[in-house]
Amino acid sequence: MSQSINLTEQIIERCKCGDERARYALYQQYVKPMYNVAYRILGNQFDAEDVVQDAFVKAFKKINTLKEFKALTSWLKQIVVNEAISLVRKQKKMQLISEYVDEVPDVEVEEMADGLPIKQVMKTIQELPDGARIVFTLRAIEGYRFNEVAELTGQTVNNCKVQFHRAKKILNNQLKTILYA
Amino acid sequence: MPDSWEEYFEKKRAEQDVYEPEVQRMWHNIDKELKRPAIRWRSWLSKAAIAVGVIFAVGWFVRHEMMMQAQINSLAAINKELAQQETSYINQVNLKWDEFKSMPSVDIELDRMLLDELALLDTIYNNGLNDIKQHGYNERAVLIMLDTYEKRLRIIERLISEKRKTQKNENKSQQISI
Repeated sequence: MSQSINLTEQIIERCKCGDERARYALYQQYVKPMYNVAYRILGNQFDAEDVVQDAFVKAFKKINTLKEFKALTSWLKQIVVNEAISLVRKQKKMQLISEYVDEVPDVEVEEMADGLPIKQVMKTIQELPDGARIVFTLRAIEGYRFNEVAELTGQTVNNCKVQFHRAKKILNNQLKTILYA
Repeated sequence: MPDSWEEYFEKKRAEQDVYEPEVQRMWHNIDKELKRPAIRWRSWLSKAAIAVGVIFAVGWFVRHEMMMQAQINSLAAINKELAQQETSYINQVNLKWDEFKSMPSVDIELDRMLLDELALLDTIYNNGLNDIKQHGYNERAVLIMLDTYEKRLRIIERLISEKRKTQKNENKSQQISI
């Protein structure tokens, strides 16, 4: 573990000196998790690729500002999330859709379903409406607090909670159908 | 369904990266972008805009000044204060000149000399004006030009006084002859 940290530190130091191979090594190490963060927020491959590329370019250009190498993952993820949300805002995908929440029927929670296949869950999440998917992803998967989600998306905390609630209702509804089919 | 989706994803953290990126193609684009020379368009554009603005303003100012200088034909054209001063002098000179003209004409040597001096003052005034036209406003030229009015007044007063004296003398000689 400490060897791995030491190696990452060395890679970062070399990146700061503009070493191309170190950049590639860092990229290889982080591209998949960062791409998945972007994909989960944006819901499609093309936007996710654009955002990850831009995020890595930005990260390599600003890597000298990274003081603590242990914070690399969260620093990189923050860049990806910011870029992704910026694209979402440009595309005006965030909509205030709280009025539709009641249209989705409540599904009774019957059991803990840790056995739910993650791929199926991810696929269902991607089918959520944009606003609900973004808020749900940021809150449930990426671990942001509601006030942070609100700040990122430019919506109110209440609206984010409503979107999250809506996402949960749709997800439960969809997954129950699949699970008990 | 999971009671808490947050808990569900926490447990499945190791499995949640289900999408596969196209690593090489994306790296190619990143590498290309990193190697592209950094052209700071915004910075360059703003600097260029400022430079154009400054050049335009300076050019306009210089042209305006040159036009203004070329149009100067009296001190009054320079500023309001000088205009007031010059008008006051001109009025005084005109009054004195009218007074001098209203007196009977007497041809004396001194008169001619003084009239020549008035002509010389006109030349000095015009030289000052030309100097301002060519080299812009300067205090010395203005003072010299204003001084010509002072001298003009003194010369005309002298002329008037000489004429009065001559008239007095003539009157006296007439009375004696009678």
